[in-house]
Amino acid sequence: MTAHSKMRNVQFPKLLFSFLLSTVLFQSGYCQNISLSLKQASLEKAFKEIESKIDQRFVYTRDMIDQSYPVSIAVKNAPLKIVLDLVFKDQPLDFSIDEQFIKVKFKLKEVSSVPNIIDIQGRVLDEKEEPLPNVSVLAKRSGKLSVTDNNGNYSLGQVFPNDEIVFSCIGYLEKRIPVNGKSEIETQLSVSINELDRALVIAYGTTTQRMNTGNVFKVSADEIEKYPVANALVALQGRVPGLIVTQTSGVPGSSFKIELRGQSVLDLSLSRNDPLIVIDGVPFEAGNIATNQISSAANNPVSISQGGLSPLNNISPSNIESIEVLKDADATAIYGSRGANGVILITTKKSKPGKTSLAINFYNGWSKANLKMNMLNTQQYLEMRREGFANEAQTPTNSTAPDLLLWDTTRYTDFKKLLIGNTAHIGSYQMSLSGGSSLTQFLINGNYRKETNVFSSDLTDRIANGYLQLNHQTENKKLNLQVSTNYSVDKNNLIQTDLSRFINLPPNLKLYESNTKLAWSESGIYFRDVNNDFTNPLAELLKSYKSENTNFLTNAIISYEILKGLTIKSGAGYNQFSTDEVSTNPSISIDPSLNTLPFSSFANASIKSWILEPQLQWNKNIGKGKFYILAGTTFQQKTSKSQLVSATNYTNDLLLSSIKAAGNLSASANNSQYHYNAVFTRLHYELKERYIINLNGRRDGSSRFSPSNRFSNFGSAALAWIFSKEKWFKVPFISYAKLRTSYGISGNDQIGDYRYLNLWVNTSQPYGGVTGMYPNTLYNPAYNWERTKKLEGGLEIAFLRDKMRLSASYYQNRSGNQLVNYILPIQAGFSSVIQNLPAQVQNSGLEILANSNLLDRRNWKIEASLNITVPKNKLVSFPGLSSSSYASQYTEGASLSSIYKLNYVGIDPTTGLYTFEDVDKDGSLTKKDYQLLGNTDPKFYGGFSTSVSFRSLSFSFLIEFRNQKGRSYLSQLSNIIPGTIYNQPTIVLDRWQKLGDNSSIQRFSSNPFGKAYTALSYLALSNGIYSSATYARLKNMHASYEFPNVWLKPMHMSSAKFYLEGQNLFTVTKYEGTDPETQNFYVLPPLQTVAIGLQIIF
Amino acid sequence: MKKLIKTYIHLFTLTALFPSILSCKKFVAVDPPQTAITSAELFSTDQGAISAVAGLYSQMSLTNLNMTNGGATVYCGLSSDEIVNTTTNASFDQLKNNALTADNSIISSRFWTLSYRIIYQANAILESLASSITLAPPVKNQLRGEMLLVRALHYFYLINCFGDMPYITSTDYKVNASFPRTAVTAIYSSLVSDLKEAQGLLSDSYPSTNKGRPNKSAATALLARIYLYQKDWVNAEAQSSNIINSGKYSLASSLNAVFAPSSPEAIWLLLRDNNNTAEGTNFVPASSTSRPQFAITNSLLNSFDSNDNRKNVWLQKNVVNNQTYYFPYKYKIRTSTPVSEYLIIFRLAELYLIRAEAEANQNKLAQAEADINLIRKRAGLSNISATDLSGLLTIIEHERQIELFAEWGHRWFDLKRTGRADAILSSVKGSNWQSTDQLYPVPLGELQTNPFLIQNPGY
Repeated sequence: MTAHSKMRNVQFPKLLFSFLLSTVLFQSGYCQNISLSLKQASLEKAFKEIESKIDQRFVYTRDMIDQSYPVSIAVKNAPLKIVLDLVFKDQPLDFSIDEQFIKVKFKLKEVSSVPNIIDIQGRVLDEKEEPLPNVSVLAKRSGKLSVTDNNGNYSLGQVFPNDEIVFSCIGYLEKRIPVNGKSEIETQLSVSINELDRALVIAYGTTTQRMNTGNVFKVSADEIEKYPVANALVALQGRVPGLIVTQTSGVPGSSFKIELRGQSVLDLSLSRNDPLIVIDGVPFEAGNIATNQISSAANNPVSISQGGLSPLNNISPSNIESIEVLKDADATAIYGSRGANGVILITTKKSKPGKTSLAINFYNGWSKANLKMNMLNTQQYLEMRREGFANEAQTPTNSTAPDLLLWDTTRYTDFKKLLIGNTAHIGSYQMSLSGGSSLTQFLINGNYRKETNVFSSDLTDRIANGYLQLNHQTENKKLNLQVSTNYSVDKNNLIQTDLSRFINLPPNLKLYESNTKLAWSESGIYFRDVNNDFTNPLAELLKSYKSENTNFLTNAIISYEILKGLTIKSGAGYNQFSTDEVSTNPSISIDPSLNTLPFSSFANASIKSWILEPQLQWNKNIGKGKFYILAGTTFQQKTSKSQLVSATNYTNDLLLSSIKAAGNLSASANNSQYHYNAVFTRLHYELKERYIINLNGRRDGSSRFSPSNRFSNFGSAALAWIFSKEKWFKVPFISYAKLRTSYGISGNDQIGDYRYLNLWVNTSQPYGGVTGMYPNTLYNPAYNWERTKKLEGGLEIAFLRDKMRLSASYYQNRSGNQLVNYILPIQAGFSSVIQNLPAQVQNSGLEILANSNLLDRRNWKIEASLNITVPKNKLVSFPGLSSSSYASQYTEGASLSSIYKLNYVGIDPTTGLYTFEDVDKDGSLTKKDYQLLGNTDPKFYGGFSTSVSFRSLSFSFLIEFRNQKGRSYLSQLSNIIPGTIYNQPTIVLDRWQKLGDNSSIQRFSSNPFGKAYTALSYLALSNGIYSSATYARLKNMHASYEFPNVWLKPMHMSSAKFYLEGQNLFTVTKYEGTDPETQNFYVLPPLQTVAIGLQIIF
Repeated sequence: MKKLIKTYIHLFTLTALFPSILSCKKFVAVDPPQTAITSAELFSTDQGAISAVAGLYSQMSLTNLNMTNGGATVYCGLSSDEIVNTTTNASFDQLKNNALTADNSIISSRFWTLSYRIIYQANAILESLASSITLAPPVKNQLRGEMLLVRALHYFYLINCFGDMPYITSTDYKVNASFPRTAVTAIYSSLVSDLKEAQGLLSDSYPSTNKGRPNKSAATALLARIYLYQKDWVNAEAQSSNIINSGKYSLASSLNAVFAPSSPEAIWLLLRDNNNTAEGTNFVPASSTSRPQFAITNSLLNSFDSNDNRKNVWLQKNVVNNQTYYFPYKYKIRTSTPVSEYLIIFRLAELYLIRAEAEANQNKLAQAEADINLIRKRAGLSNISATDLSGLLTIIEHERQIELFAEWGHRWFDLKRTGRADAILSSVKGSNWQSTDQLYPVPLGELQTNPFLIQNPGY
């Protein structure tokens, strides 16, 4: 078929020429004029055409034709000599004309210097004139291929002198250079502005957006660097379709909740929903789970099981080159048993050869808590209290109303301002040095960050981080070695309780007895006697909590090319994360009437893990197809240890940090091992750069299951079709279009170790001097892996030479074989046992991502990006739900976050009390009156970001938005009725006061067990404690100015940049409470931060 | 070309099969954790089995106000007419006002949950002892006797608080999770046979120091009490006489010495290695000027004869804000250390009172009087002489109220078993009192997780 069309192309000029021939006058000698029109025709063909119009014949040899270039020419009525000059212009040949012949010969000098085939060598540099490794260098006609080494050098043997060299590298624009006989070709590649061709890190390799069969989202260093934060997870907020990152507290170092494509596990108390976090191929075993064992202000608000300090604070954002979020089966299945909740790949910065350069970056920032939810002042508070008593027709007494009768009623403390109203300061200092020769390169990065907090400027979170990266390559370029090591220490001096916990103390509470002595009572009434949780909040500042988290992460990748295309490679990594904690309670912080001696707690924990992953990779091009095969195995061992010592009965405050000085000690310890072994393989095939198939398989074994359930298989299959490459596809404007789909199974083993064994552990105290043992759980040796089946389809389209890109993905994940802590009645000995349930949870959704280089000129650049995710969570099936312990928590066919509660219908204008729908009309409110009243899943969420740069100025911002329902402040204050001895938000002033009032808050009441209390406790069981938690938040803003080169030269700087950045600057929301993200009245909301900084590179 | 394709197909197949070839079973095997031990290992040695039993006692005394660690004293004391909480506390108020709701956290955590934890451990130990072939028979017997006794003690308190209870005697959660309530009478007859077996297994001497683990007399004491509660006067008298006549115990001559660790009348003590008693911690206020957490009721205070020494020795008062609070002062140490007091589970005085009541009901009035007078004499009171049975029973009721006040919920159980609860408590508690308040509610969480449980009337 193709041959046929070629024939026609050839025949057409022939006809034309026969026509021309008949019209042209025959002339002889040099002066005959001819017309010739050829396009990319061979030289021989040109000769034949010319011969047909003239008298002479060409004389030449075969090798002359072999070394010639195609001819393109269009002349009319030109003299023969001119025509021949044009034909021979770029040829390595010359000619001479006589009566009979046109004799062709090699150009004289080239005959002597250029052989028929030549060797070429050269260097490839990037825009900054730094050597570029791993550039593929292809001599097109000769079919010779090479790759640049770390110094950017390459060499190609046996290339035709008239060949064309194609330089290509992922992330850079392709460049073509004709050889023209040159033996040395040096060139510079410019960074590809085409997002589709940027390097994308995937499991055990890299690819590009264009050729990827799965769903992977990349956040690069440019974006991460714009945040004045210690935890890189912040940079993912609002940026990644399908990913919700929620800050749990504004306390420095506190953790984040990460949810990728919805909640897939039924029982969060047992099985974790966190994605696997992998740093340079080494699983970060501390993951997203707080390792602290002692409660601190980072816990919500006092529960050790919620919040905590994030281990990811130990991974400095400045060391991160990119974060890739792997979402679908194709991207995650090769992580087998751990990929069910998605995978977050963190890639650290790598060194590059070139001149040694020093980069310095520092910034200073200031943070404040958003205090928009106002509390009553003393006057309003007293009014509320008195109204409460009046409503109940009660007379305040010394014991029911010490705040009204015994305490100073003119005193006013704005607790919010006092406790969490300070400004925190951030200082961050970073320095990095990099450079190296063609064979060995290094990168050293050190940074230090200090952040105070809004409770007190004496409390600091200090993080120091050192990073070293080395690359080495042997002379013959077959052996490559890459080593990186990161050590970091995060010392967080905090307090034990988030002071937000105390903002609803009565505003006239006495704080000081004298200038130095804290008050614990007033007029003989002890605060703690008024209510159990009443205390002097300033005492919390005297108690201390200190944690020291250290992380050591090192990994090495060694690879050796055994044969062409066949590489053996091994990654090896070691990670040690340890936590040391001390909390002290000196006597001045303890209510003296309690007669409790000072006490302390000590804890330490460590996780040590090593991994070894030998792999074999094989690449081969066959015809128009490319094979890529990977096979490997994983060996991993992890040891976790922890100890917690509670030390009491100290006699001296000064010795509280010494475990030895305690009068009494009790300890607990944990120790566990985790072994993991897997073999995996990936088969990847690309045909004609448009059909791509990718298969992953993995067999995993995990020690978390009993010997009979230890091994399991996981896998995926994916197809992609770049149909814009098809010949029939001729839609103008559309430069790229791809359809892709994937299906696969991955698992989840995040359930803790040894849970299948019948284990007895030490009691906390001996008995009569004899060590005691007790069974700490029920055991079930039969449980097995949780499995998630993931289906995904995606369409990716790019318009206008890839300048606008749109992608839409639909996913449907079904998680089954759910591992749950199956709730048992306590009569069985324990409240739960681990079991697999045949329940299915489905997360489906649509993710849309649009981004565009709106303007791309030399001086002006504008980019914008928008992502929206519309998720849907559903409990598809749950056999036996109604008779299970989850009956009141979940409903089949509804979301896991369903609000299955009483329906709040407003305030009765006659009684002034909250009222609820009595569905069965039996006169009482019971579980039978519960209804399905929506859910707290976001209806949609996403982010919008834009960046504008004009010459040396640039500006960018990111807005995150979520449309959702959430728990309002009432969720925490649901057992404290307005009118009792606690302060309330000013919202409560809109209360019912008299018959017929239409208000949002029920009547004030001083009776802690009256009707108002009952009504409020029903409100806690209703949808009345939810409010809209929809918000749009200016998450990040960044502006920078690059100093002009003229200023920098005298100071030997290669670049310098001044910047201003901000975090959480502005929020639009109708949420009733302190913050729609944290949704907890007693928790410090995420802080608003502004920072200025300077970056200099020498 | 065909050959080439074939080669690639082979290669593909081989790589696809690669995973299943290489999996390494040995690698993923792990050692058990160093901080835990498997059940089989634990019960392979005498020492291990003993530490499992010690662990059970340690768990019993771990949590302050757990049912068998002061919980019965305080909470049943609130429910009856013995003590009141002095500050508002929702959970305490529910007990004090006999207005318990099924979601009361004390009832579910301190009584139900902690008791079934202990019962599970006792059952686990009993099963492991039965299947062990390496333990020495005397150790095995002693431990089995102890576990039967501990389990019986817990069921005794549970049925007296809740009525019919799921009577769990194995560790199989699949069966236990849906076990219905068993009738009180059936449980009592099981307890009696268990205790009789325990009497046969336990030795007269104590297996450990400080009477921390029970001997045969401890089983006998509980058996005597159970017979009394079942109105089996003959056996109640026989079992209590058994202890009284053994000569191993005697009434402490001084009231101050009754609750001392070396008390001659103590039969079984619950030890705490790092703490004094939960009773001391909860009853004794921090200082002479601070308000005690619990005070005894006026009705109890007024029940003491004016010249009863127990009023001076076992009660103490604090005046705070011009209000006088009397609080129980049987155990005298509030601070946790140094440890110098232990909780007495059974003491001889109760056995005299059991025998007196059993004798009276068999019309042995003189013998009953003699037993009562022994107790009165120690309190500095004169002898009584009753003319008829009902008068004597009233005296015995009074004597039990005073001698055993704020101790293990005796008063609460006495009022209920003698059918006097309605009469007495409705006068003390007023309209708060309903006859159905005699039984605590089955915790809500239990009803929700075990569909076979039925709530007590009135809740």
